[in-house]
Amino acid sequence: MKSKCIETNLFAKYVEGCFSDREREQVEAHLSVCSRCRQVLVNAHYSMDEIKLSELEPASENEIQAVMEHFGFSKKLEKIYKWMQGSLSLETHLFPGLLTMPGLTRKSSESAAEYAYILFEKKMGDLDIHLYAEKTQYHTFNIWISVSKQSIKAHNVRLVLIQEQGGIISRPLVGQYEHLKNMSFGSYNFIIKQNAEEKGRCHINFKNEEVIVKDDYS
Amino acid sequence: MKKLTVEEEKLLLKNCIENDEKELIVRQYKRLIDSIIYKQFKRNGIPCLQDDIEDIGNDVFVKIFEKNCKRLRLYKPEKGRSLANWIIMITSQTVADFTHKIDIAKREKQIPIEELIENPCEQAQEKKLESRESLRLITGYLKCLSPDQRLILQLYFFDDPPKSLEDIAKLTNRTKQAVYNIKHRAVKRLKQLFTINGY
Repeated sequence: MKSKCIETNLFAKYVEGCFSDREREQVEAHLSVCSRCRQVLVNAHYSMDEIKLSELEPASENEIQAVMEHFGFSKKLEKIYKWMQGSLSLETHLFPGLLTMPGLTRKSSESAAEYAYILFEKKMGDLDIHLYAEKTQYHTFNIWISVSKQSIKAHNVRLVLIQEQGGIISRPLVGQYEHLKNMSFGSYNFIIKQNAEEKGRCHINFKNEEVIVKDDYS
Repeated sequence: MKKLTVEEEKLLLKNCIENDEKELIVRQYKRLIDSIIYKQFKRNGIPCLQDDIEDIGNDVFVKIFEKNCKRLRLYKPEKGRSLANWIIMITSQTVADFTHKIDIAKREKQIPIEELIENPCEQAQEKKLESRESLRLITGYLKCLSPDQRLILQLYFFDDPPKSLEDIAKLTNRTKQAVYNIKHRAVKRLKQLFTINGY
């Protein structure tokens, strides 16, 4: 009697060559009697060899929307980020050189529990926006913003922040990061332009407990 | 689109599972999934319709996201492995399930004839087909072989199209010589069984 078809994780390990002797025996015993799984083996193996990820573009917003709507998942217009304590870990890989940025109060081994931080990324058109914010002891916060395209610093970019209570900050992004100091908590309209053309905008509400990012605003 | 590093993949998984950011996975891997579906249809000589890519692609995302991303939660990145390869695996399984149900002859009538691609038939393959016919007589004895012997004979003689020793070596993570040795011992054993039983 044919055994149940191979579970995905185990099959992937076999195709990638990361298996124990026992796992090999288990997989090959099933493959020897299942034509469907042999077909999967051949197709997966050649796909892993042939596909060059660098030639594939990310899906467009329309394509993403179509998939999400198919499942009834509406694209989230609002995301909530909680301020975090502790040393930066996994997230620093998003920001090369994050820990060496001037003015940063947190180092990986310091008493980082004092100052809460938030870090998130956002896509605007073909640009990747990384935003790192850190509370200060004066009930304000500092922000570092980086804009890149395919991991390379984007050029001719301008950042525009319009505070709801009034006040506009408009700066060209010159260095690796743009550093904004002693910002007041509250709501901001956040706009990124490149070559004088708007690439995207969102609404960010910096609160003491959390930061709420909305894709669109009126 | 650049290939993600291990750390970037871990962060992508974390954001999808913990922050419900499923669109990150869709954005990163949809084109990969579509490309695999198309190429696997072509490789198997099956005409591919745009609806197939869409239907199978959606099935792949169903498998990834269903039951609160259960499969994603079970995925454990280990040394040498990648999330992209894991997704290729799920896509390949989904394509296999789909293509098993297709009536190829009926489908070919739907496609203009100039779009159909004929598979070339090489002389070496013709010779293998002759051997295959002989071996069909003793297929009942296959269960007397070890799993690796059975698998290699299946791939070399019985599957369509038959695979070369080099292909089988790559597929089973062995050297070509090792595959040859296993095949040789398997055929020898079968012939012994054949002889013992009076054929």
